[in-house]
Amino acid sequence: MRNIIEARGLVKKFGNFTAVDSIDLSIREGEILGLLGPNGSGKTTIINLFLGLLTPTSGSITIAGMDTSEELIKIKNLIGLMTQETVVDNDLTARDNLRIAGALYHIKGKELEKEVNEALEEAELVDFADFKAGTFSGGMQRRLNLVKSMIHNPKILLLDEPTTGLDVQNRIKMWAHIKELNKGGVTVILTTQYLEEADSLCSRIAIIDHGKVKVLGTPSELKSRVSAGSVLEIIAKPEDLRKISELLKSRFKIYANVEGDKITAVLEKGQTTTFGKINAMLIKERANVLSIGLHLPILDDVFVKLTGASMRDAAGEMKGGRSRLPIEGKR
Amino acid sequence: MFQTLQDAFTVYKREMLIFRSNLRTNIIRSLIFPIVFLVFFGNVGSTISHTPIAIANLANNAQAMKFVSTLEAQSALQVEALTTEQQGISMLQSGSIAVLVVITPTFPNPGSSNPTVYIYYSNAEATSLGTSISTIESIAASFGAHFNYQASQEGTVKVSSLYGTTSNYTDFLLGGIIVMVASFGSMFGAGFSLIQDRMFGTIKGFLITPITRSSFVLGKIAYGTTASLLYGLVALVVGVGLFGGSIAMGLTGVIWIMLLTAVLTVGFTAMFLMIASIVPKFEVFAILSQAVVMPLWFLSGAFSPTATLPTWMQPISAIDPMTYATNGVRSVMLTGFYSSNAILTQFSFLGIFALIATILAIKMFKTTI
Repeated sequence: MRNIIEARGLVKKFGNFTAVDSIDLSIREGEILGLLGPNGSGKTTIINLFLGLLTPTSGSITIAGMDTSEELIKIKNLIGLMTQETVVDNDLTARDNLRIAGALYHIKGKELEKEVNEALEEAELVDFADFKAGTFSGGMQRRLNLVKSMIHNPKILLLDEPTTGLDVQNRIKMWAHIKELNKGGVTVILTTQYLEEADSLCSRIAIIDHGKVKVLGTPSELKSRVSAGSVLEIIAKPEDLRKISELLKSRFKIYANVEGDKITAVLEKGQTTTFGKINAMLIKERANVLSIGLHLPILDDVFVKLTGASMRDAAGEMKGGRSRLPIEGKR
Repeated sequence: MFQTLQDAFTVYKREMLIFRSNLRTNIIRSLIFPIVFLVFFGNVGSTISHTPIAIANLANNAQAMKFVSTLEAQSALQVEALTTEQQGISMLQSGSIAVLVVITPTFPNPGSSNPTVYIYYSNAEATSLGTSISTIESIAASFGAHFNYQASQEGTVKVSSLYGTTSNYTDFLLGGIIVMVASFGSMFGAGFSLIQDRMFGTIKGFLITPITRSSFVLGKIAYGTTASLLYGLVALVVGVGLFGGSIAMGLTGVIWIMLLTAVLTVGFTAMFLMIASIVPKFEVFAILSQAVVMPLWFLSGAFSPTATLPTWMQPISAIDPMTYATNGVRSVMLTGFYSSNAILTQFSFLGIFALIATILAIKMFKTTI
């Protein structure tokens, strides 16, 4: 498989803030690559750099053998982008939205009508073709948005958080749609905050944090990186959480992560036998444990191990206003 | 080049579809300005009856007597006869009369170029006296008399006929209103839509496509101009239909008015696009645009002739594109005569303004987010 996108030493700074910090990334033709990371980790910036919506501070991007700084217009014909926010004209009908989008890619006449009709079918919007997009539900708008970004049949599709804000039903629909497009030969790069989304869709996942690629691999590779062992999970009364994590550290040299009322820690292969000992110790110390268990690692655990915070944590941090990307609101 | 224009047309089509879907709102908005302005300002000086004037007849001849009786017969004037000039001036200063006509002993003396009629009036009421003064003037002229204007109070100012030959203030104002409504329209047009595109992110839908920025900007300008022209036309229809305004040149005049408005609004639309390119928010855009357009509007002579502007403002008025458009529209509407000299001056000035603004708007448009 050849690489369809190559980023070398890619850096993007906004003032003093480095959003993308010398990233090297090769994306293979025909794969679905997931860029996984919390808000403000630099995922969207990477996507925007691929399409020339932002100019890199330094480094280079080659797409299908062409440099973005030289042949951006040709490259644009190869790429479709669905942005984080739904970008359709609310005052225009679904059909007109698609017609205009197609015309901007120089599709004309009968061919344009054919593409538009196909797209409407794909988005299951045939019955609503002549309704204004503003009257659509969120899911319908999103589907319209997706077929709009595919109107010119691009070889590469960039999806920036394609399912954020969608309900479960629409999310599953969107996943099926993305998989189908990929089967048709489209290379898909998607950013997401949802681990399950990355897990079920992507052939490879890059975990992005603070503008850097922390790790890149298939979902199973990433999971095995956590350990061949297991993940310990203890749910306890809040007042005992600190005590338990201290005990784990002092007695077993296990560094646990506390989140809410839950303690999680990765047990390396050799440590699994300690589970019984931990259990016994907790009983002896009369810790108020509500539940204790071991499970095989999931992507969340990978994320915890690599970034020191769970995805939910990271998202919460953003909501709390301590944005890691202060510039975002400005643009 | 052809591709650029074709892409610009696609952008234009999109804007027009959006415009059409909000047509009612847009038209109503464009109706408010002309109606409000014509109702509140349009009546100024338009139908004055019984303007109090005084006549000091210093000539004792039949012609002068006839002149006085003709003036007395005018329903627009309420005439009081005086014996001395001084008496009249003090009445003028106290505000009990608006105009003082002094007939010199040599009246009418058509052979001489020395004035034999002096018309005094108060500067304070200059704007509302257009019709009264021109009535007096034309009657005096029918006797072959030369006349001289003098404003009373401190200093004297010679003012030529204010609002064209036969017009009232509504007609005068309407020309300015058409130009103003059109240029305000260009503010709400392309510039606003660019800000909106940035705010809603729809701009990305264009930036990721292979169209060039010239296409995008040209499409926006074409849309802004179309919308502005429509607004101008609405103002014209309102002015003529509801307020009895008239266009001396008739239908040909309408074409000239539309042409002038078109070239002006290309420039204005491009100018507002420049502003929209550098400011991120609606609020800032609205403030900045109004700060630009309001002075330009007042300087253009939309309300009162540019000749009445203070001296230091005159040069600014002379480089204000709106002045040229307003003057052109006014020639067409008031005098019914549009000289080729005026056409050349006005269109070349407006054309150069439009061209420079368009080039700058393209240069300033950012292709990144």
